[in-house]
Amino acid sequence: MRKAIAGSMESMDCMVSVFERPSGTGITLSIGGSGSELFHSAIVNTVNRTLSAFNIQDIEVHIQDCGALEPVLSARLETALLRYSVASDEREP
Amino acid sequence: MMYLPGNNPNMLLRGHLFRPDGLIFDLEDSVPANEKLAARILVGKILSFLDFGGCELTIRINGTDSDYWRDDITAIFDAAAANPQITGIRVPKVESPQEVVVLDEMLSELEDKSNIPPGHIRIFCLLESASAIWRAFDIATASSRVTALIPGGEDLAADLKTSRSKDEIELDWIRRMLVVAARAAGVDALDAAYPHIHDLEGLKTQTAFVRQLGFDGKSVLHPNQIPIIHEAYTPTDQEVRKALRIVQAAEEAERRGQGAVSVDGRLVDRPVIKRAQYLLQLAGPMHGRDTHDVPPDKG
Repeated sequence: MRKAIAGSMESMDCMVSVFERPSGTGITLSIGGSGSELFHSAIVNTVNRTLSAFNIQDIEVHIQDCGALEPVLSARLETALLRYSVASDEREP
Repeated sequence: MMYLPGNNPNMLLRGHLFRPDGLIFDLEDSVPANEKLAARILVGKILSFLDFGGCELTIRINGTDSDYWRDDITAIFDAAAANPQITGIRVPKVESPQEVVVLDEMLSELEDKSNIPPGHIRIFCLLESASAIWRAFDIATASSRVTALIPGGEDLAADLKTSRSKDEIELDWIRRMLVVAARAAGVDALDAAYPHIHDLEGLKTQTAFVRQLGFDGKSVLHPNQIPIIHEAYTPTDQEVRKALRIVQAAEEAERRGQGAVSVDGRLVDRPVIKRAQYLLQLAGPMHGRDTHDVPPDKG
């Protein structure tokens, strides 16, 4: 299974992990950490917007939030997705 | 101007709260190779989204001898299109005027594509070898974008085949040469950061020394260093009052068509007037006030 991570567990950061899912199975998102309840809908919006910009339909995303602001979450997810796409390319013969 | 490690959200987001004059978002030495991409994206997002008050924002890109610098600059332009506070790039290990020309061409192309005014992104050159110091004037005049020359520390000491001592005696003539080159080229001379972040007395001594040499400012590694440098570069009220008297007397003499100016019983010539004007320029932003607000002299 292809996967990629980005970020850290430092204050004001977040750890984003993305995992491959079979085609047609959609997006699953799990959110944990300090801002997971209070900012749940804002985090979901940022994730959906970023995945949509990358045109990704099938993926599993885990976010462990340590107080990340929106640009930080967005940057970490974007980094994870770019790393994921490179990992994907490397698997091709 | 304070360096902030490019892959540390906490520091990137809070750095401006310590009220430096400027922030340097670092994509070079403070970022390991496997985090270059992450730092570039993070810095770009943060710069695009947030307001940093009155801070001047620059980004230290990776050197032109690396694989990263073109991507660094491209990322900066995405952010610069959204945030006009971004005014420059710090380029490490500049070795030749040709490098500056190549950078200038790339910046011009990207400014054109991004609808950023031509020449908006300036170049701060870090000179980190003996040969770069030797060519400092040519580097500074290679493009009108060059705004400042900055000496290196560790790399320069190594290139001189010595080590960096506490009092940095080995960099003494480097600093003097750099100020002369910067002044001759009409750009700023900015000093390297003081690496001993807990030695505030040492920083105070060094800052007084480099200010006396003619440096316009100094880089900062830690928030604790900011007030020391601000204090060293802030003219006293007495200095500001004297400078105001000189500038006002010079303006009055010019209105009357007189050549010579006398202040406090002493004849004042053009270099003194120029220095007074520079001091007032320095006093304005440093004090965060209009220099006309200086309290009257009691004497």
